Amino acid sequence: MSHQEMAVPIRAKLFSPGVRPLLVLMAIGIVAAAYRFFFGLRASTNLSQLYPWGIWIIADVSFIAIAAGGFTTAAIAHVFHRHEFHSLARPALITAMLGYTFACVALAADLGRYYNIWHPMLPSMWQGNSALFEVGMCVMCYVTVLYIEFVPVFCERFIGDLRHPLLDRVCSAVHHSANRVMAVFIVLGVGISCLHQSSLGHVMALVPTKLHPLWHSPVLALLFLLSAIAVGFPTVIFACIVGPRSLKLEPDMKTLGRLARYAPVLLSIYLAAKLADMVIRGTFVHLGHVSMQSLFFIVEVAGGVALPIVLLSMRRVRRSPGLLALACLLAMLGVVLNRVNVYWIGYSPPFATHMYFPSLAEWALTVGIVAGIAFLWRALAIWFPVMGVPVRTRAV
Amino acid sequence: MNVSRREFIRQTGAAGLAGSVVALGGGSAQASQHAPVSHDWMGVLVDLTKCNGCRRCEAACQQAAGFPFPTPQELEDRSVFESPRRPGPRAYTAVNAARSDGDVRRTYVKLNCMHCNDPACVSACLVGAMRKEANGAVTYNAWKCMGCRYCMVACPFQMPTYEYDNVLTPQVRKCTLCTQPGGQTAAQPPACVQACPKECLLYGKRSDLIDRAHEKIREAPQLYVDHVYGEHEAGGTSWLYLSAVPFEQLGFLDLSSAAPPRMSESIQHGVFKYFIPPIAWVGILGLSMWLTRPEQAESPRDSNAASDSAAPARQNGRTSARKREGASV
Repeated sequence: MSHQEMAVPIRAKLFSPGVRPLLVLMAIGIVAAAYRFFFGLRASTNLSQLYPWGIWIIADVSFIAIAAGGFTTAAIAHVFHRHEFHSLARPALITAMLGYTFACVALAADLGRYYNIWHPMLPSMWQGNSALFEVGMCVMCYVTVLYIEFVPVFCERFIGDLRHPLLDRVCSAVHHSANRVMAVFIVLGVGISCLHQSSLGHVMALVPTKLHPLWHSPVLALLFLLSAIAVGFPTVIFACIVGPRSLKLEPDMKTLGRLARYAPVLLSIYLAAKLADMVIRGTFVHLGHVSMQSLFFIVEVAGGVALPIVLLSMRRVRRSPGLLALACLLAMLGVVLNRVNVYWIGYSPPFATHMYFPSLAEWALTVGIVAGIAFLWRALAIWFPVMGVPVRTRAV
Repeated sequence: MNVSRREFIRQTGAAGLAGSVVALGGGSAQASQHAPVSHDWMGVLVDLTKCNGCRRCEAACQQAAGFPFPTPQELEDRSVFESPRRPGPRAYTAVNAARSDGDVRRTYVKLNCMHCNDPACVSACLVGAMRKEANGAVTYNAWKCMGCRYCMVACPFQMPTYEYDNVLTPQVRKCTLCTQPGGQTAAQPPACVQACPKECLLYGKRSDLIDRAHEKIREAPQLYVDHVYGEHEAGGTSWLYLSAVPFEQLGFLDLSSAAPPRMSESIQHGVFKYFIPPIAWVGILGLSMWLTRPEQAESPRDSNAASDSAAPARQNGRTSARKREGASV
């Protein structure tokens, strides 16, 4: 390894003044969740017979897309052994862990019979024709894999804890055996991720008559997979700039800048596939009509894919933490907008007289969850050895 | 990662096995190019030229489903036709007055679940709560349902409805074709068919009904448009309609004859064919991980220095624990 980096718990106050707004948003989100569970979906949401899926489902698919950073970073650092990126594997892991965990939370809020959420585990209920079944199975497996990947991080926190010798010994033993089998879970995690990231797009392939032709395509699954892969690194880079900043650490711009060089390539592959799909199916004719859909499509592709490609191709952007974070955020928002478009803007059910717009409680819970992810990201970096701190700047 | 060659092979084998378990569901049902059509499927032929909008079918349906049903006075109230209604969680069917262009006479259209030959809701449901029964009816099993409402998203006719008001045990609600549990063909026709005084609803085997419908068109070509709605729409439906005016003027959706699940299922089963692609993918990943492994991983000295920061972890964990102690003092 060229430069020795160790992951350490960061010494910082968890409840710094900066997290107070997050705590307020989280509290509002919890109230919204309580309102939903006590008073039901009619009272808390604007969902209707025509729009059965709302912003909570969009949050699910968006969190999962954003959390793709976990598997793409695991792939580059561990499967392809690019050691310079090892220090990013753990921040990517907790990003993915939190993304998936809270996707499940948002899903539980959305499900009418949330207590049956475990039903896809029962072989008697397996329904292999459903894209959502594939998603459900893979998400359950991948969440498990992510938590297994977190086991060594958890154990390291307690190894050498002189106050609890028993904990030290148990964690040492678990850590040792966990690392021996970790290769399996890393490969499995990458494989499973590719499956369900694509299936999330395939879910909407079933509704050719309701989804706008700008988005509905037989290769929707491929586009979802490519966009998830493309947004993976930008997410990790964004987290590894904003996270350390909030912990009063210098982001490791050398490594991040190097990782950022892959982003325009992956985004370009996604863009090329998207444009090719549009040209082959001839759906560009829809861009000629001024409509909400064509406008959102143009904003999505130009602002959320093409612009980040241009920005991330510039060395000046890759070297500046602020600009790099901004460019990465743009790429993330571009993919989120794609999910918004596929599941909401482009979805037009027959007989609809007005379009769905989320209720206050739907917004509150969604924003609260995003705040919760940010807060817990910080908390995990403080409690556990997540951040790779270069030796030279480790003097705290 | 640094594991010995032998161990790696063992681990990758385990990964492949686990991958196949994950993929199992995706490929468990084989895709067919066409949904099998059964001659046992029942259906209803609706002759829209005969309906006068008495709504007795609605009343009978409400009664059969155990919902509040309209009184005779309420049935007389023609103001319900002023704005179109949709079936809902407390009404499996709704009769609307559709005014067609160039026709002074009103045409009444009864709406309810079409009971597709190849139902998108059945294809969508991830726990198999939606089922195509032996008698052709598409039924719902609340006990299995998670309440994800993918069936409602999937339905091209927009028929399944949801009990959003129900806080704890909401159900998807739609016409059941008065099917008894188990999908047995009921001895009697559905309640709406029995209630119809104008013989506008005809219950029977779907294949017979299609023959009957074309016969009717042949007998009175001046009365009907030459189109049996539901014969081909969305892959064919158990509810079939005959009309005097073109269907698109009555608010019927213009749907292609391709059932939505055919396209999506064939792609999905292609990707998961015999679980080979997913396993191969995991295998390729594992193989490339092994082939590109760093050289030092082979030396036993380093074999304990597992992923990124495990080696310094022991010492590192200790120092950090000390640091924390120091901080807390």
